[in-house]
Amino acid sequence: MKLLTYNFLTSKCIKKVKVGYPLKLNIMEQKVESTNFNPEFIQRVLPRLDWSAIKIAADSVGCQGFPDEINLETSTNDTELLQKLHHLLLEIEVVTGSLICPETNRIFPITNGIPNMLLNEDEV
Amino acid sequence: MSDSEISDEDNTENFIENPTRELLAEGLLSLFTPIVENLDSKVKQTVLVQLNINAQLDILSSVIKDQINKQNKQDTSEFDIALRNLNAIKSKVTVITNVLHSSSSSKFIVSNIMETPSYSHLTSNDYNHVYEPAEDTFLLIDALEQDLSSIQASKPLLTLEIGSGSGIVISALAKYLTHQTHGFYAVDINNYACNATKRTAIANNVNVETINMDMLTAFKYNSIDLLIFNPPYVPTSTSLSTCEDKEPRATVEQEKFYDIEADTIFVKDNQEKMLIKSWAGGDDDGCQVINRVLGELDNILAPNGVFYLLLIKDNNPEKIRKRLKSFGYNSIQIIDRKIRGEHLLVLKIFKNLL
Repeated sequence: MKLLTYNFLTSKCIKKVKVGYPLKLNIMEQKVESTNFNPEFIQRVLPRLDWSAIKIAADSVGCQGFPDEINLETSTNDTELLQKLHHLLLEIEVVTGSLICPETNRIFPITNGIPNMLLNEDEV
Repeated sequence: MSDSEISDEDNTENFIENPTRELLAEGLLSLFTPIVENLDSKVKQTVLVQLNINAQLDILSSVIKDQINKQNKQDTSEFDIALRNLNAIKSKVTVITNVLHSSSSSKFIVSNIMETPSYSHLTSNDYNHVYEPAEDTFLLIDALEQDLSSIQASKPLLTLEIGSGSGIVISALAKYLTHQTHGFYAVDINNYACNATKRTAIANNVNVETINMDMLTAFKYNSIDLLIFNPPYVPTSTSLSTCEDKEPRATVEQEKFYDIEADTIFVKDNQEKMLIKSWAGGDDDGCQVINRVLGELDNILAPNGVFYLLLIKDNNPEKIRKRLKSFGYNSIQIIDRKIRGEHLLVLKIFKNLL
């Protein structure tokens, strides 16, 4: 699971969970796979990022230098920030770990890079 | 349907089941590609030569015209004949140049075909757990290929396939668009299918983010720009669910629709349930799972999102299109194919007129 994916996952599907976002992130095994930097993709994905999740992701993998808040107008031309985001979102693969619902602490395991977001019938 | 009922038209499609088809196609492609490329460079060279000749002839004819004028119409008959000959040659050269130009553009069409991703790494054991690519899979790939230029122009940020199974549809698209975007996603309720999708993506050198999920229940709303779904579309005699709630849970009991193989693979374990889930569409025209996605479409798609949905005629596509219209979606049928008693088609569904 790349950390871009983490930005899009919620536990809102659990019964009685109000927001379910951002999930807690627990990384046991990670690897880095370099990909070509495509600034346009990062620029276009920027408005869809939830900065609270990005900060959690960056802290979890020890990527530093991310601002506390994001200013969409200035960030879109900030090549250094775009490059950092490219690395954080697209190059770090979470192989093993878990995602945890912030409200219920329900654990969703990540195995072989695949998060398991399935719920039991009594949870929905 | 028994063999005797298969018409000639249907029979011609049977080659699709031939396991060596992919191998043959690959072999033929590898044979043809260098030849076509070689031909293309030759054609280009010839075009250049022809253009050069054309220019030279232009110069020559103007020189001759000058000569004629200078000679004050003395002895012009010889020059006239020569001039006419030259003009005839010139028009022939132009015709040849045009022919060469058009053959160049056919080469372009050949190179624009979307390659079927390799999936030879999947074995028959995998297909005990995961839906094996079949006619419906290839029709969906063909539909996306046909619509490729509009897909590229729409610049999807996130492309997601629901129920990716073997993963060849999303990998096919990722292979083609990977230089443009990185957001390829696959979800499947079957963990085995998730692994197969991941393996197919890796075998084709693309990244497809794979999530084990029921539909898009754990995905942020309104994120998907391009949605693809080859649903379980086969109408079955009973509901998929014996529960009170609307969600199909594949608590499939001994169903009539499953009689043929019931003695050998009656639902014993979860994986077999999963395999049934990959094709059984329930009793509502086979639309139980399709309807779940349609009901959630407003939450799934990003603004201007587009949805490619494979259906069978038995699903009553007109009813589905009316339902879509009622909540503001346009739809067009972009491809259809009749294969052994199944009439398959793909709808392209979108909110705004493109």
